[in-house]
Amino acid sequence: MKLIRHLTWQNMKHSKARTIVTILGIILSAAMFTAVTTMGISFRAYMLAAEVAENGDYFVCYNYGTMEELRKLQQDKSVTKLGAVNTIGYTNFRYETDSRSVDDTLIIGAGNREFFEMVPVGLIEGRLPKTGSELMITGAVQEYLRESGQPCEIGARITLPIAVSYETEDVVLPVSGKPYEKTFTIVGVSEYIQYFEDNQLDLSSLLTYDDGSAAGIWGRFFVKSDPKEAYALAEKPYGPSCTVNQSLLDFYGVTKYYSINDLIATFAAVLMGIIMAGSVTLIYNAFSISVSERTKQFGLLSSVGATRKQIRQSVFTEAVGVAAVGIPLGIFCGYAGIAITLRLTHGLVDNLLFSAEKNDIILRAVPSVPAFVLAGLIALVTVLISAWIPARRATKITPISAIRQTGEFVVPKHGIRAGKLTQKFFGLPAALARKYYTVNKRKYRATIISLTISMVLFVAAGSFVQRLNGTAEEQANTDNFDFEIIVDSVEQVEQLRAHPALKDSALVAHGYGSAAILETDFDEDYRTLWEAKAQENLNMENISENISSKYVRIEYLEDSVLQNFLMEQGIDPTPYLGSEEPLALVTDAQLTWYSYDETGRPVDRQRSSEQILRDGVDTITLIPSFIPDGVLERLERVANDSLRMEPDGTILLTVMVAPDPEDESGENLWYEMEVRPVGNGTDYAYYIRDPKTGIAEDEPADVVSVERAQLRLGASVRDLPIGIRENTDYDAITVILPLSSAPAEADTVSLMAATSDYEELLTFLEEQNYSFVDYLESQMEYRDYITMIRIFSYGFIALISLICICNVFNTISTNIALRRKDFGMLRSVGMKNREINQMMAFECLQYGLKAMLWGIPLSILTRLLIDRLIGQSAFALPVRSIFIAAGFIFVTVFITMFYAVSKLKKENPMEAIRSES
Amino acid sequence: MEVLRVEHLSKIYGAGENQIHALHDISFSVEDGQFLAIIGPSGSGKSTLLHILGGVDRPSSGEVYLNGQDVFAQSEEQLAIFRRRQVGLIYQFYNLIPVLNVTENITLPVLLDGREINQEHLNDLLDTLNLRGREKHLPSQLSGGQQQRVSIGRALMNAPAVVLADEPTGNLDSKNSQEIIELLKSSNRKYGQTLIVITHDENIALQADRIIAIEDGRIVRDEVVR
Repeated sequence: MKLIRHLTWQNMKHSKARTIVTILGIILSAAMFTAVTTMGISFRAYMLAAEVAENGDYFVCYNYGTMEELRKLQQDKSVTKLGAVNTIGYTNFRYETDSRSVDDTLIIGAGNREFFEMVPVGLIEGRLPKTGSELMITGAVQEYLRESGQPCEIGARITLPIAVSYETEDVVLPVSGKPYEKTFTIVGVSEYIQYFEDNQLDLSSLLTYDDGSAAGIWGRFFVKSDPKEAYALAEKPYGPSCTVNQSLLDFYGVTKYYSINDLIATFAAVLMGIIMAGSVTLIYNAFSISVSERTKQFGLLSSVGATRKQIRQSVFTEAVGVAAVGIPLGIFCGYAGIAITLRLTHGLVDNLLFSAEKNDIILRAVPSVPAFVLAGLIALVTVLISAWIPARRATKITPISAIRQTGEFVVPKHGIRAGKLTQKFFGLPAALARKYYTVNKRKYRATIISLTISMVLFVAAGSFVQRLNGTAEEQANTDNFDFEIIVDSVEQVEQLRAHPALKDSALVAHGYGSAAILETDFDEDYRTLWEAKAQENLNMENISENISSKYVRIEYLEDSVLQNFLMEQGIDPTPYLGSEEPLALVTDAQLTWYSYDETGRPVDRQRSSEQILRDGVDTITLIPSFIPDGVLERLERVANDSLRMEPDGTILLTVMVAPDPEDESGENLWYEMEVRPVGNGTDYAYYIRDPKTGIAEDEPADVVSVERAQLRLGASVRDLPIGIRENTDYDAITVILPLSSAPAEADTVSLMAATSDYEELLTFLEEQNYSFVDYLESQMEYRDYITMIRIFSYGFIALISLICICNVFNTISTNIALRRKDFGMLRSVGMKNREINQMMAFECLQYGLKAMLWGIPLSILTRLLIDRLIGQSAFALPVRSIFIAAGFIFVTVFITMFYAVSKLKKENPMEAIRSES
Repeated sequence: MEVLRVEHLSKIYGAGENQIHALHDISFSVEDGQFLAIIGPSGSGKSTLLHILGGVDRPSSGEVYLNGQDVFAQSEEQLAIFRRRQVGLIYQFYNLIPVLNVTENITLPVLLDGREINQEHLNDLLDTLNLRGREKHLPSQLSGGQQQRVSIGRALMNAPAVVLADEPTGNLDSKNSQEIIELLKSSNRKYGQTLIVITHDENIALQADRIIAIEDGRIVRDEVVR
């Protein structure tokens, strides 16, 4: 109605500050809603793009279909897109080189345009074929061509003999036809190697374009349809076998298990709920204040004949008005905010998905009209909900209350506290503050709720990020090196060691063995821990009655590094180096164990460094750690094995043999075999005992060698030299020997390197084509991941806090403005500005304390909840977060109050008294 | 012809020990076109009576009939429309909408009705109230007297059956006071509207056709002056 619109507009202009703050609050809410919907859509798009780039854009794949089946498929109305790669022939590579002989028959496939659009072929050089005379080959084929003396670079022309039949039991449809030769131009190289796996692409190693120049023999057909019809389509007989690309269908909501869409939607809904809660308090408050300010006006309108509906309309008109301005601006800001944030966090976020990183898919903001509309609608609903109660309150204002100018002063049930004690200790200003607080409590409820929500959210976000940091530490690389680089030559080692980003390094070769250790030779503390762990972890065996087999990791460490380390540890290096039988340095085990509650959830985690063998054990004998081939051939289905030592020192290996699957009544059989050292002590012979008589056979089933017969043990150390990994296994012992004592047939030698510049060294290693293991990678990724979560969490909190600040400002400044007459009167009877300040400070204190009274217990509760959700055991009070949040509350309240009062203090007391607020 | 009839009207505020009988069993009637003054000391209940007659407050018991219609038998919605069309209320403290200008404040009842403004009638009112040239002014830009004239204009705009004025000159100096009373009297004569004025000013009361005196919520005197 025209009058109502006009009246509302005039009122909004009249209370500019409050209107602007309300619009700001709506902008914030709408922006956050938009941010959530946009992030959801963008993230989904990112994941979808990564999925498509990695696995292909199709729902159903028919394998080994005939051309007839292809024609039928092409006519199927439910097919929206069809990519086909047809086998047009086979070509054979047969040749010999110095190091190998090759006899490989490969498929030549011809793909249509849709195929190349729908299926990733891993092009790394050149381009895709556009005609039937162009060819894309794999790196392996390039090697074949090179080794057999044929041209293999981009642009080279090669002539291939092509057969159209291939006799093998594996291929379904051999078709006879005359072999022929064809000349192709190599236009592209791909990285895919042909392999067969369910749901994976089976690509020909040689791909050309299907321009109809060659007939297809059989093919693979990739189909897109209405997602809901995918499974029905897969049932149709367009090929002897068929796979459904479930991982892509997940994105379209067609899922058997969970849906990615559902996951994103659920998370978004939770966030929206939180945002709505914060926004409703602000906007409700704004309208509540508006109604309070206009109490007299509403009463007046009512007395002049405005109906309840018209008065309600006035409030809703204001709601729609501020929404009309705030929501579009908010949507714009929200989208822009996300777009900018994603751009800034570009490097951090892209590592989220391996497939995305590999295919250069970037997470960017995707503008989506449905997302904007959804955000706008939710924001509008939020505004209308917030206006509902104030609108109803407005209609209840009687004309008489307006005429009488009694305002909204409602005497509290139990009266206004005398405040005598307060007055006695803190003076009249404090007593007045107490009385005002008592009377105005209801008005401030929404503000206190808003402050409490902000505090709880802040502590929640802080807790969440802190716990994530904790898990990041667990993920952290605790080793004293960052890369393990395989080296072939001294030159390589020198090149690496000369690199400025290489801080420190050691050459290491890895050896292994197994040891039979007597139960009594274990250190007591270690044994206790192991037995406790074996009780919880059923996969872990108890310490056997007399001996246990332990995996022994032998690390052959560069002599100079070992020597330096020993000297640092205060150990005389001589027995450990240089002699024929050097002492082996034993490392402590770094053990982690959990204690569990009744339900089986871990509640506490502890780490300690434990000496594995007791003092006084100076030798361990190495025995074979595997069941040799000869035994396996004899006994076939060996399922289990265990080791024990007889009283006379004979080592006995017991194996369980599973029954023949075709023998229904078959039972497990147990075989024992004696493991006897032979010859010089590095050989062991396995003699199988007859199950009935228990007598060992005369001839051994097999004889195997171990690396060394015995290890002479030296000291046990807790610290580690560079290059040696922590021993975190219960089932292993790690010992260190000098590299010079490594056997000739030892494993490859690695350079274990610590870096001072991760990115630089990583780039160098990649460019120089070194084989290496990056131990820092996952830690770096995890750190980036945490940083990203931090940015978003704290960004979110900052925005919620802004809403809170708007709320506080709105309420307090208006409430004070409404008390203009009171302030004027107080000053007119002689209250000094200093005393007014005191009164305000006491009021602030009361509101702040009230907010904290709710906020602190709720924050602690939230922290407990988060800990429970994450599965963290030890609870720690979020003291720092609470302090910061409390500080924020008080600062906001104080600043707002003093700003509002400062305006009133400037004016003439009489003007204030006379004013009609 | 009788335009207003009050029967056994009572109003009680509060409860128990704090009960206040603002009005005790008041009954009277008013003729169409009559100028009635209601006088009495502070706290006698005269404002309460006026507010009930204007439909802005409800009686504890009793009835009020305007043009034969029981005012308080109506729903809230009907009562609002009653206030809009049947009565015109003028208060001591003007009670204008601060964000609406003079024209808007005067035409408020018409605008609430959603009807077209009768421009001729409006111009006539503006002339009568001597507000020409101030149509676009906000209340804060007017003097006390001018504001009261605006509120009179609002009360008269819809040509209600009864105009009720509660101490209309209470906030004005003597010159303005007399002007306002003259305006009210002239509208009473010109538009034939029934006028009920509450006042504690004997001079004003003596200008009325009839005086009702109220004390402690009861009518103590009811005399026709002219």
